[in-house]
Amino acid sequence: MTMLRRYEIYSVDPNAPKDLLARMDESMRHAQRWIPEVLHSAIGMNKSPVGLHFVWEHGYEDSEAYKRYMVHPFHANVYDRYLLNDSPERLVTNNPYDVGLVGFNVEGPQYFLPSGYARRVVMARLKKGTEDAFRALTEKEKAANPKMVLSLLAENTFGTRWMDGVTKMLDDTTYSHIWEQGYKTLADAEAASTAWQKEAADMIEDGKMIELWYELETGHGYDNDAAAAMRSHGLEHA
Amino acid sequence: MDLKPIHIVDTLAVTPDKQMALLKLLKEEGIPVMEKAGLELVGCYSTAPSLGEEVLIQVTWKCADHATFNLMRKEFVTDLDWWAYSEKASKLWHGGTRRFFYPAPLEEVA
Repeated sequence: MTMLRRYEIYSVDPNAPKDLLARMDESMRHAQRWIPEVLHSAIGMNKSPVGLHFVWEHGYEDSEAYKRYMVHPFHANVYDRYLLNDSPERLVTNNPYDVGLVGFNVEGPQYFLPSGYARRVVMARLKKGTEDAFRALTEKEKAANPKMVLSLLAENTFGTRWMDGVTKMLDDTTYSHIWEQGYKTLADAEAASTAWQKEAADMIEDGKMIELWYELETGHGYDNDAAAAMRSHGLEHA
Repeated sequence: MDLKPIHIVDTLAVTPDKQMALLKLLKEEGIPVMEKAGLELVGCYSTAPSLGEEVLIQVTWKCADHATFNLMRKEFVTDLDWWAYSEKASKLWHGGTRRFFYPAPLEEVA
C-alpha cells in the first residue's frame, strides 16, 4: 500500500513564549495521542545553517487517513492556533523556503528510523530529466558512507497536493525532490560528506537546494507503530 | 459532545491607541476575506479603550462543522488578500487567543 510521508518545517518566532513553544512541540511530537491517523510522528530541531528551526515529520497509512487528519478537530483547534498567519497565538514566521508542507508517496514506511537516530534531509529543485542521474548520485553516496543507514529519494508531491495528498491544486512548488538520509547519531549526520554537491550542481535548477539535520525526538506510539507498519508491508526493521 | 456547529472566537489584544486601526483593518480587509472564504461573521465586540488597560477585540465566526471549515481554510490560505491582511494585523495586536467553541452539552448535566 502507498503511504503518505509528510513534513512540516517552520522558522520559529524568536519572541515566541517558551511555554507555548513547548506546547506546540508536544502537540506535534505526540500527535498520535490525539489523532490516531498520524503515524511515526517525530520532531527535530534543525542544526544546519538554513533559517529553519523546527521539523515535524510523520506519515499516513493512505490518503483516506490523511483526509481524516485534515478534518480532525485537534488539527483546527491546536495546530492552526500556532501556525496560521491570522492567529494571535502564531508561533512561527514567514520564510522564503516554501517547506511548510512537503512530502511524498512511498511504498511502506521506508523512511523509518529508530528513536534517537538523526535525519539529514536534502531538498532540491532538480532540472527536468536529471532525476535518474541524481538518484544514482544518492545511491553512490550511500554506498560510500557506511554511517548513512538510510537513503530515500522521492518527488515532493505533497507541496502541490496538501489538501488530500493526492489531488494536485498548485502548479508548482519550490523543491521538486526530497532526499531523506538516516544516521545513528547527530554527529554522523552533521559530518556527512557534501562532496556530492559539486557533482549535482548541474542537476539543480538555479542552485535551489537546502539541507537540514536534526535528532529525532519521537512521539507517542512511534516504535510500536513502526514495527507493525513495516511488518504489514513485508519490510525489515531498519 | 457534538462538535458542530463551530464558533471560532478570536480575541485580539491591542493597546488602546491601536483599537480603531485594528477595527478599520478588520472591517476593510479581515472580515471581507473570511466571508469570501465562506465563514459567517457572528459578531465583533470590543472592550472600552478608557479603562487604563489593553483593549480586547473579539471576533466570532461560525461554520457548520470541521469538514466545512477545512474547505474554507483552503480558500483563505490560498487567498493573497488573507496573507496581506494577516501581515498587517499581526503588527497591531500584541497577544490574544483563538479558540473553537461548540454547543455546550447542557442537556447532559444531571
